[in-house]
Amino acid sequence: MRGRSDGAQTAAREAGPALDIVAVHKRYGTGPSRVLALDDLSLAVPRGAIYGLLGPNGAGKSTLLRIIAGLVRPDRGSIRILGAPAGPAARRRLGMLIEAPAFYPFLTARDHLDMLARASGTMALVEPVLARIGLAMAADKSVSGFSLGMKQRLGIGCALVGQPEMIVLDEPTNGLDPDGILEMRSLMRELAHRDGLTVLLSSHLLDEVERVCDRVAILSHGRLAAEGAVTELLDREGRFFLRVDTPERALAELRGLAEPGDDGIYLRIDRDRVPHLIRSLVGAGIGIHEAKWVKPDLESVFLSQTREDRA
Amino acid sequence: MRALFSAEMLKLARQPGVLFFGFFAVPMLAILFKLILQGLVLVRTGRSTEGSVDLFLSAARALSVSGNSLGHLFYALGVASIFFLEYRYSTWRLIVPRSARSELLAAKFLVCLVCLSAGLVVAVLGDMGLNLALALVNGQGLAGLRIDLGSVPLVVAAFAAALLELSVLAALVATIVIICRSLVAAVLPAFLLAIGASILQLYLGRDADGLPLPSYAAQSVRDWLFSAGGSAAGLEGLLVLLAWLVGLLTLGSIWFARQQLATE
Repeated sequence: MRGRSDGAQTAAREAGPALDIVAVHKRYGTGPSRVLALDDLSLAVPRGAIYGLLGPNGAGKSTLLRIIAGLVRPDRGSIRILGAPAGPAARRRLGMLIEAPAFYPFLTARDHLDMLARASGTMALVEPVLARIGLAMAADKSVSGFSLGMKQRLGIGCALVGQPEMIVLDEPTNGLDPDGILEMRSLMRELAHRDGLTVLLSSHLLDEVERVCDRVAILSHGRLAAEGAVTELLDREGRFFLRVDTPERALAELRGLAEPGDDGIYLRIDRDRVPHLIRSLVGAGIGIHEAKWVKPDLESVFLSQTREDRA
Repeated sequence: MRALFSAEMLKLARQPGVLFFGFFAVPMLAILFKLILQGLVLVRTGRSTEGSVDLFLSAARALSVSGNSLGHLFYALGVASIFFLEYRYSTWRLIVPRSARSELLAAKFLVCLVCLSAGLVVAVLGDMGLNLALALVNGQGLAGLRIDLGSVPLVVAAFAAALLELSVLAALVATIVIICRSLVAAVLPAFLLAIGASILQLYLGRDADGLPLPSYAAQSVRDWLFSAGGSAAGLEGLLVLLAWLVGLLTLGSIWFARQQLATE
C-alpha cells in the first residue's frame, strides 16, 4: 500500500493519538428497558500501533465501533480521528470492517472495490488490493457465491482500497481457514509495521490479540477495565510462585499476602520485595524448593479484569 | 458526489428487474395500451383514428402517465427498492463511514429522478413513434401528422409537471422507507394514497380539488397546461406539489441524519 520513512512514522507518532475517544456515553432504549452501552469511556489509540479491543459480550465494543463508523450517535462525548473531529472527512481516512461483512450480492468483488475506490480517488489500488487479499481469481464473480472467508477477505479489501491511514477491524479472522488466519495476522503486522497504519482490532480471540497487538484495552460494562501495552498488562498480572516444604506455615507467615495453589503458594508482590520475602521465609525455617515468576496469558488477564469489574 | 451517483447507477443497472418494472414498465405499458386500443379500432373499422394528429400535443398528453394510480404502484416499487437496498443487505455500514449521509441520500434521490425522467422520455418518444407508425399504417404518411413547433414548450412544461409529481411520490416513498426501514410499508401507503385519492375524487367530485393532495395538485397543473383549468388553480397546484416535495425531503433527511444504522 503505502510506505513511510522512519522519520514520517516518528512525526506521526508525535502528532497525537490516531483515535481519541473522550467521555463517550451511550444508552439504548427508553424507560426500564434502557441499556447502558458505554459509560463515559475514554481511550486513546496511539498512531502506528496495533491496538486490541477486548471485552465480553455486551461490554460495548460493537457500540464503540459503530460510533467510530458514524452508524450510531453517542449521547455525549467526543471522538477525534487522526486529529480531526469525527465526521465524513475524517472517516474517509479510516478503513473499516465492522460486524459481519455486508455486500451487495448482485455485484462482483471488483465492482465493490471500484465503487469505493472511485469515491476515494484511488482507482489504481483496485488490482493490487485484489491481489493482496487473494481474490484476484474471483474478482469478477458475484459476491452471492462467496464463502464467509472470501467475504471476510473482500471486507478487508474494502477497508484498504481507500488508502486509509488507520483501519478498524472487527473480528477479521472470522470464517477464515488456518492459513487465512495466519495471512491475516501477517497482513495486520505488515500494515502497522511496514506501511505505518494504525490498526484497531476488536476480537474475541485472546490468543490472536496477544500475538498481534502492541497495546490492548479491556472493556467491561461500557467502561475501561484495563489498558496498556500487552507486556505491561501481563507483567501487572504476574504472580510469584513458591514451592515450600510447609505451605501452611508459609501462608501463616505471609498473613493474607499469598494464596494456595497447585504444589505451592502464589503471591502478588512487587519484584523489589522478593529478596526480602525469601529472606523472611528462610529466617522462619521454611524450606524453599522452587521460586519463580509465573507470567499469565492474556486470557487470565482478561478473566481477572472482567471478573473484578463484575464484582 | 459524482462517485456516489455512479455507484448508485451501477447498483441499479445490476438489478434489471427493478430498473424495468420500477421506472420503464409504466410508460411502456401506457404505449402498449394505446397501441392495443388503436389496433382494435383498426381491426373493427379497417382504419385508424381519423384526422391529423398534433405530434407534440399528443406527446405532452402522454406525460399524464405520471398521474396513473396503478402506475404509482410500479414507481413506488422502483424508488423503494433503491432506498431499501442498504437496509436489506445492511450495507449502510459499508458506505456511511465514507460519505456524508446527506450526500448518500442525495445520490439515491438523484438516481430516482434520472430514471423517472428517462421513463418520461420513453413515454414521449414512444407516443411520437406510435403516432408516426399509425400515420404510416393509415397510408397518410407524414401528412397524417401535424408538427406544430409551438407545442414544444407545452411538452417541456408537461414534462416538468410530470417529473415534479413523480418527485413527490419518490420523496414520499423514500421518507417512509427511511422511517419504517421497510419496502412494503412504503409501497402500500403510496399506492393506497393514489387509489384513495382517485376514489375520493369520484365520490366528492369537484369538492375534492380543494384538498391539498399531490395527485389533485398535479391534475390542476395539467388542466392549466392543457387549457382545461384556470391559472390560479394551476399555480396553487404547483405550490402544493413543491410544498409536499420540500416537506418530505426535509423530514426524510432529518430522520436519516439522526437514524441509528445498527441496533443493539
